[in-house]
Amino acid sequence: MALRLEIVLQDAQLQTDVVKAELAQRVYRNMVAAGIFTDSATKNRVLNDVTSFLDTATLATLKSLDDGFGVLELAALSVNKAASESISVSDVLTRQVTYLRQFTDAVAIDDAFDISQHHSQTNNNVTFVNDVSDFAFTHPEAETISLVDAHNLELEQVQTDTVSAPDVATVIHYLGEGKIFNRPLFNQSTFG
Amino acid sequence: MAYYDTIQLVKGDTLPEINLTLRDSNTAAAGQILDADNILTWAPIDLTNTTVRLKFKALGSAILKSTITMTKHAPYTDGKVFMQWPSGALDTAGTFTGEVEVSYDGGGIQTVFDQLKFKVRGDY
Repeated sequence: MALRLEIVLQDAQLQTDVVKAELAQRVYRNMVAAGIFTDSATKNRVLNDVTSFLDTATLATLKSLDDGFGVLELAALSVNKAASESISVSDVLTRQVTYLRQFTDAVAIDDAFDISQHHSQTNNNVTFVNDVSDFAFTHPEAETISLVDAHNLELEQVQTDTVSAPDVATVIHYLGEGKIFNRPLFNQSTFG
Repeated sequence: MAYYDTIQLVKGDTLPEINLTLRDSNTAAAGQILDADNILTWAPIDLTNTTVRLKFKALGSAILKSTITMTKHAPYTDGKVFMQWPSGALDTAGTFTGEVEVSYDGGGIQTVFDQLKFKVRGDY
């Protein structure tokens, strides 16, 4: 009798396991492809809008590389060309300036002083000063500068001499004497 | 290894278009009572922020012949996708299989367990 009782318990345990398996299967999402069909006359349209920026990227990249190449070219010039090439730069500047200056200074003073020894006349004292300066410049660059400075100085000095020649008549009467007319010299110059 | 019904194609064609709906057989659709034998009671899978691809290879081969991105139907909540064959995908006769893979933008990937089967015959 005790053995039959154990068999009944095993059946009950098996039933419990089946229920647990059923619950576990329904927990996760079981993705399936349902309603599969083909359509040869579809009305589906796929619109592709593709925008390419390849042009911009290429420009930015290539320009940078070209700039870098310019640096390499500078290095080649400074190292390689110095050993095999000779660069000579000769610059001769010649400037010739010739000055020809001629100064001519002629001064002539003519002083004529004439005092006439004539009484009761005006003496004429005339002085002439003639100063002539000639400056001549000759410029080699086809420029000619000529300065002529002519100074005419004429001085006229008039001197007036006053000559006084008083005539004094002195009558001296001596008693007992005959009358004597005393006449002094005329035109007596004070110049001696 | 379970396959869906074999789809018959001809070499060199680009049609017919393949349509399918991705559903969750463990979840009841809104307003439906889940029935394991009625696919219309299974909830469609929301394909928002996902990319659906069909990986296509010859039967028994380990090398992928083509990976084709499937197009989703807006607004992406009904689980419907379709696929048009790109030029060159059907350039060889034979038997091929395909698996549908859903990649989520967050990084998750889930693949339909059962596979599609294609039989491509040679053309004239």
